[in-house]
Amino acid sequence: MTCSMIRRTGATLRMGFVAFVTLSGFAFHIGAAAAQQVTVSMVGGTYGDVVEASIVKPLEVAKLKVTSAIEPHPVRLTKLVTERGQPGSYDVVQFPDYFMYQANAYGLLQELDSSRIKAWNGIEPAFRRPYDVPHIFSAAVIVYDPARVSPAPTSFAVFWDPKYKGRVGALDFMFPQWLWMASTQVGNTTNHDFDKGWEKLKALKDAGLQTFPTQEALDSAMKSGEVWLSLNYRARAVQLAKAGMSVKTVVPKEGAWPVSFSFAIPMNAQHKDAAYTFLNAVLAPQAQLAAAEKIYYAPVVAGTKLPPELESLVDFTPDEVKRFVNVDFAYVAKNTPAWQQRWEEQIK
Amino acid sequence: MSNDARQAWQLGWLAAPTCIVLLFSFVFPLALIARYSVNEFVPGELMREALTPANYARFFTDDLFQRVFATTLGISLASSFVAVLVGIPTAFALRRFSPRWRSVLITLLLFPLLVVTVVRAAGWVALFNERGALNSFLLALHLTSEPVRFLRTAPALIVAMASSLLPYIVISIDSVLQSVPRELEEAAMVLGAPPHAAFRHVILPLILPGIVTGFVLSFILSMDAYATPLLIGGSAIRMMSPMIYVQVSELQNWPFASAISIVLVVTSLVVSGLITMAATQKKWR
Amino acid sequence: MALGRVGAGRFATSAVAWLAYLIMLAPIGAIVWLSLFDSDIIAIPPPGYSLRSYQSMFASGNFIASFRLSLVVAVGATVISLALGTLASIAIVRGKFPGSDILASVFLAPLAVPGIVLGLAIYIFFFKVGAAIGIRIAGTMTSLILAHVVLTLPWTIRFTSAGLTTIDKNLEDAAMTLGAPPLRTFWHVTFPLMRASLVAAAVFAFLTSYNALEMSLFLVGPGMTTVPIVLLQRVSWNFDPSVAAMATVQVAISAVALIILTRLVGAERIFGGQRSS
Repeated sequence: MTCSMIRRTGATLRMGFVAFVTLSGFAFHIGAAAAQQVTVSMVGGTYGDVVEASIVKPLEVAKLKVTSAIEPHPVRLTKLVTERGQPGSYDVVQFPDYFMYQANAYGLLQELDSSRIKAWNGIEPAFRRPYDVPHIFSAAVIVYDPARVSPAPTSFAVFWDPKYKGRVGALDFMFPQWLWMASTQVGNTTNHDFDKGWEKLKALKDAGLQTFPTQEALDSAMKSGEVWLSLNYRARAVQLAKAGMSVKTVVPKEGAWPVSFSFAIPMNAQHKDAAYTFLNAVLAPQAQLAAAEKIYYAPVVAGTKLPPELESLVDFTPDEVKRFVNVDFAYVAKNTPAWQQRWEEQIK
Repeated sequence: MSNDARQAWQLGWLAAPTCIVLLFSFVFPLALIARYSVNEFVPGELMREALTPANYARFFTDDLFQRVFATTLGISLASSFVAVLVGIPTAFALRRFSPRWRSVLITLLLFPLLVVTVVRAAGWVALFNERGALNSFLLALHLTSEPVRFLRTAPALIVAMASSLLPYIVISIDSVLQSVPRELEEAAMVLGAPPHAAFRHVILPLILPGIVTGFVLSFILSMDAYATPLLIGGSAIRMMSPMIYVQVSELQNWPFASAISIVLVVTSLVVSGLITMAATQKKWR
Repeated sequence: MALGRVGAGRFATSAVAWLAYLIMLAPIGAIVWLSLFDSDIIAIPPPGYSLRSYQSMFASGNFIASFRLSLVVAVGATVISLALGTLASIAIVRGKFPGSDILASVFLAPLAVPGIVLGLAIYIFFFKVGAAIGIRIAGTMTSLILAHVVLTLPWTIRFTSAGLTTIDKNLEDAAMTLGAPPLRTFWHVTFPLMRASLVAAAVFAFLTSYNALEMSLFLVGPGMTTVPIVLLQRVSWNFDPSVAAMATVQVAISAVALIILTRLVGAERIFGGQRSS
């Protein structure tokens, strides 16, 4: 072989190598580009901040481009409804459970392939649904000021205790929870027949129940000592306690109405693979821990390691979880308009 | 047609681009809402296509919504009235300042508009709260012995709404006042008229258009108010805009929400039209 | 004697004026007060005061981005709205055609529609039209600006027509008699005289667009957000002093801009119409 032939072979090989790398790089780029972006719609505020820090950032480090759309839940639901049948703007949507149920009932969500969700079997069964992946949960429990309410309550009956007349506060938007809770006081142990509770509620109203339009209004009332007892999310109560207020929570013997926030994939999502990547990140240990630390909601993945002090504050024991009401969202959705009007007229 | 008249007619075409924009971005969308208002609502399902007057019937026959309607009208009229009552003397007071100070004061009026309504309303809550600034002030001065309940009362809501309306009114009246020479008042009084008569018969007719415009504008804006009635009126004083939002966000009842919206828009426009006609016809001279 | 009564009248109007300014500025004072709470929640009375809500404000990256978008949209909407509004007001003030009065009232109509309804309606309509013709309209910057134009048109039309009516038509006629074509007359005679009301229109249009909440909620695309939306999110989910801090900072910046603007143009002429002196 002459030197020139060797040189030419080397040159050809080099060119071929460069071509191969370039082509494969190009192919990789195309393939990767399709999986490289996801659009997530969720609520903002501190919840959005936690998701950004504990879910979005790690994903971006792993080269997934996440675009966040921040909007209130009704707006997101409207957009999903309007976009039905067209390529969707969103690949992942976040909702509280009652909205997520509606979205699914309207046929807007995909049924999830659970084999693609790594932590699927670790999800607390109470919050495992075929159409969404939960992120965090809490429950509406008795929130009380231990300095003024003694002994610690064990039942919702404490709201009717004459000792605390006029010291009970209710959040307006929690009317379904209050109605259910009142119905347990006349013996209702099912997840239906909440209407049985109206009389008890009326009696409570006559005994001086105060209602508040926002969390802040109720917070102020509890801080000033106007209100000693309320029904509120444990997560919120922990936040108040961390801010220095004297509050404690208890899941009474009748149980509690849980609330969870979850993520789902719309029917018309355009980047389904990336969506699954996002959903898996939601259940990752760091995301679960961050939510507990920053916004005091309990992790949905069993066995998430929380610092003991935090765990005792925000989490729920298996026994407490067993006592949760198994909310029938269809029943609640059907009756909400009538309940809401009656609440406005009689209780508010 | 004379050249002038033809030109005047042709100038009408200048409005065409605006009309086209409004047609596509306002009239058609609103027509869509009107269409939704006659659809049927089934809980748990989205809208069902229909041509039913049920939503309007519900609004006008149901006690709760009738009260909401009356409250909305009442509060809007009252707030506008208070704003005008306070705004007129303010505009007059502004006249007395040198141009430099007037410019500072007018700029100051615009500051509240820089704050988003919902945050402004939250500020009022902090002021009116039982443990808020106003009560602390009253208690400190021993004007009352216990905190006064301001929140969820009509007067508090009217004051808060008037506070948002005042900038518009003061500027409306002030701009009309500019064309009224200051000497006019004095001239009338030199001729023997007492000050209030000078005002009533000489100045008032001249600034009436400004007052009417300001009042009508305030009325329309009040009818639409959302954040302020929500946070300050709360459960005691219910107005239509928050109600529309509840229907949409908590109950997903689009048809009913649309019906309430149409009623709101039509009422605002009709009432303002009536006020304008009545005010310009009344003999003030 | 009459002067005594005048004095009393002066006192009364001054007192009312003070009251008016107090009522208008009180909520801003309250917001600044709230922003200084040394607490994670807004519960009155606060445990103490500090500047820490200002520090935590920057933790939310959204705020800066929202500021930029709000500004861009407000400026864009204001410019377009001013142009359209001026044209429209010339038509209704100077033009005499059947229905000019009705048109004038129709132009006010957007104000009568609650923000949430208008925002929803525009969104659905734009989306349906976009789907029908195959181009995405809803959620684009264009749709957002267009919606804001609708919102601000009543203001620009109102202020520019108010300004136009005070300009003596004779001035324009004189110019045209002297041979100037209508367009040049407008540019060199009418326009400069209208400048003050144009600035007023621009200021109000800008403020309206900047404050628009419900309208923007539906029409922002993914990844876009405006200042009112960010503030709303924080107020709804967790109203803490950092919201008040954001509002205070935003007011401060806008106030500075407003002051500079009015210094440049002369606020005493902006809202005042024409003064022959």
